[in-house]
Amino acid sequence: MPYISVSDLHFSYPNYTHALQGVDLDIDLGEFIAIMGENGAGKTTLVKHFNGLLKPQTGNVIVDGADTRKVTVAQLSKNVGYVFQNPLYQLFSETVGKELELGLRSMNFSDQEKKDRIDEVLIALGIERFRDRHPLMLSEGERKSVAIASVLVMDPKVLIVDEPTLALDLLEKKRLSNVLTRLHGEGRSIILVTHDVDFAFDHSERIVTMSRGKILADGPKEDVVNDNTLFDKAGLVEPQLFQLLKHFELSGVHTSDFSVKSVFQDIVKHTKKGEG
Amino acid sequence: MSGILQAFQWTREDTPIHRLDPRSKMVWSLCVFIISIIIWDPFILTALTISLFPFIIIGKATSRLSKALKSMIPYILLLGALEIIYYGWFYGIIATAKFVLATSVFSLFFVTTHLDDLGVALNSLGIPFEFTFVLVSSAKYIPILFWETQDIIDAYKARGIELERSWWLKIRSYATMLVPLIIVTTRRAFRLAEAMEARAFGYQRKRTTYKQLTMKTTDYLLMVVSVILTVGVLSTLYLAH
Repeated sequence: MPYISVSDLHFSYPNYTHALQGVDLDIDLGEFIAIMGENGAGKTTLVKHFNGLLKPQTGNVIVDGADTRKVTVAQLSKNVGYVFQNPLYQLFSETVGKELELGLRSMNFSDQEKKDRIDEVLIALGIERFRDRHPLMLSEGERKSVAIASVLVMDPKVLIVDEPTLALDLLEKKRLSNVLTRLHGEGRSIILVTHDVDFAFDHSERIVTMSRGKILADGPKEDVVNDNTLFDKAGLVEPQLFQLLKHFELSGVHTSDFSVKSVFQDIVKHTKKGEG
Repeated sequence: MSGILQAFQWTREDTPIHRLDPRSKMVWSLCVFIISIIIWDPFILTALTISLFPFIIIGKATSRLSKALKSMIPYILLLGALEIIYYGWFYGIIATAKFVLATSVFSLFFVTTHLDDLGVALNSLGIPFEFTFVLVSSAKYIPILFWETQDIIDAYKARGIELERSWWLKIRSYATMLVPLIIVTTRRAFRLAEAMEARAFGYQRKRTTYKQLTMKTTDYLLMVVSVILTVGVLSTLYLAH
């Protein structure tokens, strides 16, 4: 049984926007998924159903066997963490340490357990030096790490990260990439909601594309990206690696593995063959 | 809450009411407001309410207005209860009806008048541009502020805090949530100020506007009829006393 199961989900906002129009989706524990699509496609509306911030109007969302209509956001958030697009929305405390403690208040931990958890997450994300700093005094990327840490401290099985690469420079993006890879390695499900095709393609195993409240494609990343029509329909542009490959394919280079290393090796092999 | 907000948001429609000059609509809505505040006669108030129907129907504002009134039911009931306790049944119900009428006419005004047009109209009436700019920009940011507040509340809930557990926790949590709200709002205000300076705001005292307002016959007609009816009703009331 999938950890998150969405069936025939419909949702409309009070301004009559029909944001979701019959979405079906299953997510297992340990998956790394990217949900992609143009603005207004319904990506954020969909993932807000996973931790109960939105309740289905019709259809069902089942998380860990429980109907999200029947459980509170607080109960769901212990298993499904949500990192908002703008970290400023979720930083409430005067120090990073206290920020992490906020989410633990509702959990029955002793002071020592709380301290241990906070230490563990700060070290894991490499932000222990910020413990006594005000979150607003940090850079955008550091703030994003604090926002992730504040959710991670609750040890959720699923981590939803909404537009994680927005406003990050290359170094911050690299750091974020390492953090997400490590969290995925620990067996957590990571759900990226993003426009960043390259970041999604580099990290996720499965891509779900959405348009106008419906799922257009759902499958292994190579299959989804290969289907030009569907990718176009979702208002997305292929990853740079794919665009490069298309040019090489015209010259006879063929590759089945879409990692940068493998593509590079295939190109070198082809070039050597040509020289020989 | 979003229903109330929508009641005062312009809708993109091309109806005769939308096309009216904001100044004539301003005079009309002020006249309706004045009568609804001063008059306690149920017949005149009923007639005034009925007179709004053509504007609501032609301006395609029926669903907006009904949604707004629906989301205002708790406030209307609370106000009604207080009025009934204070004034008694008759005047309590009339006072509540007056509130609904006044709200509806302003809702109709804002649903059919673009904020930029309102700004130009106020400038043409001699109100300084700086003042109208602040007014119009603030009004434009209200929906954004509402959505940001909702996101902040969501982010707080997503940290596993049961706001519904107690009233004390709720009050304390809302105070905590003010921190990001104030920061986000202040940052936006600074960004707006920078953008305005970058576009030479205040470089010249005398300004021209892209949109020119012109009063048509229907506008004059609406203004004259509104003023005559208001003066008539008020004079009758004065003479009767």
